[in-house]
Amino acid sequence: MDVTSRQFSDKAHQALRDTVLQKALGHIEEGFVEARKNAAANLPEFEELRDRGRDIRAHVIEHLGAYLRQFEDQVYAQGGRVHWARDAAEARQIVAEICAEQGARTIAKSKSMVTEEIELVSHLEAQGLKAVETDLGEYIIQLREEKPSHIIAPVIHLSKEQVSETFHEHHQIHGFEDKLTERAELVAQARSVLRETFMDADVGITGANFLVAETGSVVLVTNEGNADLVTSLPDTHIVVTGIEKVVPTLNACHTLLRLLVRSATGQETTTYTSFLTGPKRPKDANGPSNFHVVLVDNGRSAMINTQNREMLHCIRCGACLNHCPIYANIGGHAYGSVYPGPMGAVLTPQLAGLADSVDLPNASTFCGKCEAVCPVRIPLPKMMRHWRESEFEQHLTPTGMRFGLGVWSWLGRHPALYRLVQRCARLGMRVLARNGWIKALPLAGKGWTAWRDMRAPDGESFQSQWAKRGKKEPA
Amino acid sequence: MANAREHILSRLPDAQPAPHSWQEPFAPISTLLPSDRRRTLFADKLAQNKATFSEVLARKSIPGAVARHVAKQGYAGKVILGQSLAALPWDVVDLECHWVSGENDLPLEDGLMMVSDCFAAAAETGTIITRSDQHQDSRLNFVARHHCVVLDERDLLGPYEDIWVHMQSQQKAMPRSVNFITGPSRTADIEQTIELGAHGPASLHIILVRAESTRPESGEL
Repeated sequence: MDVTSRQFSDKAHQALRDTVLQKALGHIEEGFVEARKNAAANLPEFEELRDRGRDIRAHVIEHLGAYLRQFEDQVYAQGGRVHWARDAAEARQIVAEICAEQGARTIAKSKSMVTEEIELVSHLEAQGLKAVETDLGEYIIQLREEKPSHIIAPVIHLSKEQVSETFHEHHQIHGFEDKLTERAELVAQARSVLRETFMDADVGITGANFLVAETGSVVLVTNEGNADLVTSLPDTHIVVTGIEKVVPTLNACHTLLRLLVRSATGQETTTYTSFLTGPKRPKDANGPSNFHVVLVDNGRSAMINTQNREMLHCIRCGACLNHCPIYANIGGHAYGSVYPGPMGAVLTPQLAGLADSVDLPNASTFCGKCEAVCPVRIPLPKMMRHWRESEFEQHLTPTGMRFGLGVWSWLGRHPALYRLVQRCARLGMRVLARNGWIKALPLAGKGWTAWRDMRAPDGESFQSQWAKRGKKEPA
Repeated sequence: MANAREHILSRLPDAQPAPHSWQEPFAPISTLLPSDRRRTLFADKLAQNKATFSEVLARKSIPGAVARHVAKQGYAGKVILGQSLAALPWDVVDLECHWVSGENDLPLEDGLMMVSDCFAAAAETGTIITRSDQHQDSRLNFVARHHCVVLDERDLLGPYEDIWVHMQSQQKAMPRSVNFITGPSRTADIEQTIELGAHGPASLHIILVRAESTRPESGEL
């Protein structure tokens, strides 16, 4: 997976100065955070479902091989085919070969983060195929030649005006010459243009939200209905998904669906939830003749015996992005990875290497909100902390910081000296403070106080207060 | 790439799972209701999800309900009817009807009103459920501009999990597609604001055919 996460710091600064982006990010609070809060509050069983969701995901990973074999057997029993891909290149090749077998020219795609991860569309286009994203957000991104900035809301960084300009530029060849100003008109125009793609497509490509082992079903959730057109109009359906997406049963799947949608958009359910099992049966009124599932590893099996194993529990709802104070201020593109925010800060170093993405696990205040809202209770802050430890062990930490950490560590092992330094620092900071706040902090560099002031120490230190209480636990 | 399969599986924990509880349903208590309250919950959830709703006392009244819905929508084009509805008395209403007779007979252009059956519904979220078979063309659910769905009250269930039990009582094999549909198609991709009719139907209307046991004693619905 190619990432540009080395530019994180520069891009984050640019993002903070981008007024259009800042306005767009303002929609997150009402659109996602409030909606999730209400959805969770309206379902008394929500916390119990989260426990159950976590247990289901842990159980699946514990028996991942067995469940994948069961899923595979069921897909074959229904007349479909299963392909296995060790990495992105193998997955792309499998898809390209199926398209070639079918003599395909046009491909309709629905949204899938795994296909973003393996950069499938650009590869198919390089082979001369016309591959069109049909999720409205992904379609806009494709026209603009950008990457998604959110795992469920790919164009959350754009304004209506920017979308209008993009359509005006690209839709004139379809006979739409007027520049639109209303959202409803933009949606209607995209509907009209993309309907042609659905009708023309020889192959439909989707991801999968879940794979059900007991039935061999692929489960897809969308609000637009594009995935259902992608899977019911073309004669071939190719599913490209990660090996971790399997769940044991339909009932287990419903537990996770109740969690996924509430956590993602705050809806109780998406408009469309589809259980697709194999190709058209001989007597069926319609349906694709060919049904392929490509199971992609691409670094996932390597996570099983690591400290990041629980990241395989992730159901890609995006709640950790929506609730992250860092993501909410800089958006997704600064992360330089298709997986941004807290889940991306854990996953990207795993998939792309820590050296190329070392800033991401550091882009956290450890406020803990991501873990607090995760539908399957993944301990994201703990995992980011693990990456910071690995960073230190692998000597990826900048020299200055490494020196600072060394000094801190040495002082920590010399309590008397630590207290003396702390007392001096407290006095020094009081001298620098004006009305209780410090505007520029020596030694911390310009970075820390460039964006906010430092609170001057107030009263006594924790250690002296603790000593006065007689080292007793507060009542 | 046959060895890719072996390579990946060799890296995964492969122990057969012991009997576990994931087969068991875990439905929200609010969905486990007697039939009258289930109907109320269903209607509430339909409204919440921007679908509309009407009731009839018998299947023979379906054409009339469709005609009323067509008039209310101000729709003037032809009405596309799924195969399973062909036997109803459509001649009593003044509609230009087209009965879909085969795979190549479904018009796919945008803008049409389409009417079809569903095999079940979940009151939990006001969700209707369709399955593909020889009579049900799944495309009809998605290519229509206006979708009108007939639901028999005996098929109105509470939580999602009951759908599979209901299906198992009728057929053992999993259909190619089982579609859970809740309200009209929508998108909030542009500025997090919901617009209806993204790719699928912009309007969804449910006609509930009341079961004999729950019908009101007299009066029109």
